[in-house]
Amino acid sequence: MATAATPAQTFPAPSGSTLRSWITTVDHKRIGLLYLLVTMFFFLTGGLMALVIRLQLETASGTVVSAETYDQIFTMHGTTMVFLFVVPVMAAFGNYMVPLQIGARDMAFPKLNAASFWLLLFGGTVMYSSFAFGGAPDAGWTGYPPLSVISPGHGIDFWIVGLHILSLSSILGAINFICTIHNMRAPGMRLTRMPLFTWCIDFYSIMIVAALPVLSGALTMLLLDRNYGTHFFTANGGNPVLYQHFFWFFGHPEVYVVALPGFGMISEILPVFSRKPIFGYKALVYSIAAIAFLGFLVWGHHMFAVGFSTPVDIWFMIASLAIAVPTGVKIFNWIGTLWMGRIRYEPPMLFAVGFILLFMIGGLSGVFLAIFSIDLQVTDSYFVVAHFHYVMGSIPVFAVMGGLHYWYPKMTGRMLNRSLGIWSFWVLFVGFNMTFFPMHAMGLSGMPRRISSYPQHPGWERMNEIATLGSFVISLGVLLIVYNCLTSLRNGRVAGDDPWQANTLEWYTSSPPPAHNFDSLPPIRSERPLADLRAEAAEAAG
Amino acid sequence: MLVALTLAQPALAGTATLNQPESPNAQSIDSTYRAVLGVTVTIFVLVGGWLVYSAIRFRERPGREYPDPPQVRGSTRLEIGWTIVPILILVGLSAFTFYKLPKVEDVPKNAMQIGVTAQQYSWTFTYPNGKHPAGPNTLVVPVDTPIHLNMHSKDVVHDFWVEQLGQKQDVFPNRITHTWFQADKIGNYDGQCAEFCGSGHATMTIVVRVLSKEDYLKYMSTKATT
Repeated sequence: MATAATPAQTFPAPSGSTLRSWITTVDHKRIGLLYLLVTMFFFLTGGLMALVIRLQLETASGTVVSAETYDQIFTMHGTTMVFLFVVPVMAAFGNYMVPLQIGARDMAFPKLNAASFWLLLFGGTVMYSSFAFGGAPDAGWTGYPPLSVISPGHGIDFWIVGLHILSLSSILGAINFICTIHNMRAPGMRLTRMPLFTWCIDFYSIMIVAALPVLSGALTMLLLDRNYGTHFFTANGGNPVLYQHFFWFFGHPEVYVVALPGFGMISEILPVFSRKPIFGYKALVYSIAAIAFLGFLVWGHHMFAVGFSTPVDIWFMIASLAIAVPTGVKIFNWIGTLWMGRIRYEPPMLFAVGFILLFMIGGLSGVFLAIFSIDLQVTDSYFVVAHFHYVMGSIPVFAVMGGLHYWYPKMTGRMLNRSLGIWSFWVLFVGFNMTFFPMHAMGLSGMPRRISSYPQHPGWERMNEIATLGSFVISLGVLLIVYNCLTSLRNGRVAGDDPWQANTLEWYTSSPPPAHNFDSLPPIRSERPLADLRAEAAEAAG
Repeated sequence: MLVALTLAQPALAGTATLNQPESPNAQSIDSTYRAVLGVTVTIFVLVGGWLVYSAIRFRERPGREYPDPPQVRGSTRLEIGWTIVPILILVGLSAFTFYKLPKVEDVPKNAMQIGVTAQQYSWTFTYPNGKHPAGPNTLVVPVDTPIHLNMHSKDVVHDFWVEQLGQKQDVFPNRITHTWFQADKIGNYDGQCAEFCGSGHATMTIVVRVLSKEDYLKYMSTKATT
């Protein structure tokens, strides 16, 4: 790796494995690994906070933490998971895989890429330093005013500044992805032959560029309201609902920012382990595009309880329901890929199939939230918490972990332990459903979210106990994966270039790839050049 | 999974539905909910069943020789089919929602107007004659009488939610918002602020006490405070 012939037009990346070489690296693969390391750290941090939440709610009048601390914990849990884990972990895989998948030497702007990563770490550090400077933010990850304006201390200010930095990191990264994907594809890699994961990172980036600046604007106004006497969102002259519009105009597309790359990973894994081409490649690309577009028209379904006029309610309801159509198309095409296949249950495939089932639950519970009359009963209750964990939680825990098991051999050159991988999947699958399925029932029977204690209501303590127990089962599954990843670095079986007999270009080069990625490229005549190569070889062999 | 779901059905009967609705708007939402539940559970069983069946049926078993699977790349006819069928289902669900909507939104005429003031972390209710119910966070109303709530907040956003009596409504500091109910059964109904409003959010409970019309008149003349 160290002495690989570096083409003259690229940056002379420091080589070796010294600390300095990692800090100054502009290699997309190393930056991808740094992203992965940091986002996994924040995942564990956010997960620890989830355990505090679950312990507090195990009994009706939990005393694990005070109400004030509880507010800080759930605010930081949500903020961490969304901004420091699920969104940037997609950038981790995107960074590592997109240039490889399109046969490029690196990202379009390697130095900007490094800047995106360091801004992520900086933004996270700023936000977490609030704990040391008088208290963390405590107004929920949505930060609704006037509560977030009158919240004392500087927790919310740290939150705002931290989010500004993280937004900048994401926007710069997204611009880099768009430029890379649209300018640096290898000869023959037409858009219609691009791997679906790369397609998803393309739309992920477009949505980030379109949505995040709106959040930044709203946060700036909030900062001014808090510190400089403006009244954008306060009651005297301003309008608290305006903030909610801004927030969700960003916030709903954000859901798809997270979802699309997860879909992309599933769409990579399913055909490889079914030994078939992906079913309906074009339909999948169109449905990704449709979801990315419709995602900008539905933000109001987070706000039905503010009291819109009926026509506005109806618009947001129909637009939201419309997203079910392309989402259904994706699921049907995935199952179509399995149909008549020859399915090999390696860990990535288990995670992928498990993800489809869980995502189906999250998608179907979304129908209740799109229909505004029902939404008015279940919104802001634990039903919503159940819903968004089946969506936003199943993506990182199942789609991304599927992607991790799938690409780990490429990133490290070693295989993960297979039976540990299978165990991790089943432990996570059981724990996930134990934790989040009962939350549907809690919400339906009237338990609001974001409460640090709850009244004695028949069944609530029992359901919360199950959820708490489940959260520890999830933790065990996560620890198994971490253990597997760490020990396999040394002990894993050597992977070789293409351990899965996969389809896309990243499997053409060595594992891990050299600094310059490819010594040569195969001809690209379809969306799965490696399958074409195998077919040609088989034909030649007679 | 399917077996587990079937076995769990009796246990789910009480937990898969909203709390017993006792007001026309809540009842109307409840029947919309049940329709959507029926449709979505059916879809989950069919599509989830198809997924699980395919995932098991087409698995590679060790020690057997397999031919290469058919390299099918898609089917336009299927794509059109599984685009149109969901659209039709969603149109049906929307139509049913709209059919049930008037009872959710339309406040009956001659409703009793009650003022609601929310603040961190309590509710104050005011009758048309200026009196208040005795006791904190408690609203006392007569049975079978439409009640129209005119709500505002003194500080941050709150949300009035008594599930058995109907939908949530946010309460804002800069405008008046409205909701209504008509309790059809005597008894106590528990509710709670449903928009996070600060460290006391969990304690911002609501009790709606529904009395017979006679008891209500008695209550107003003896217990209600000025």
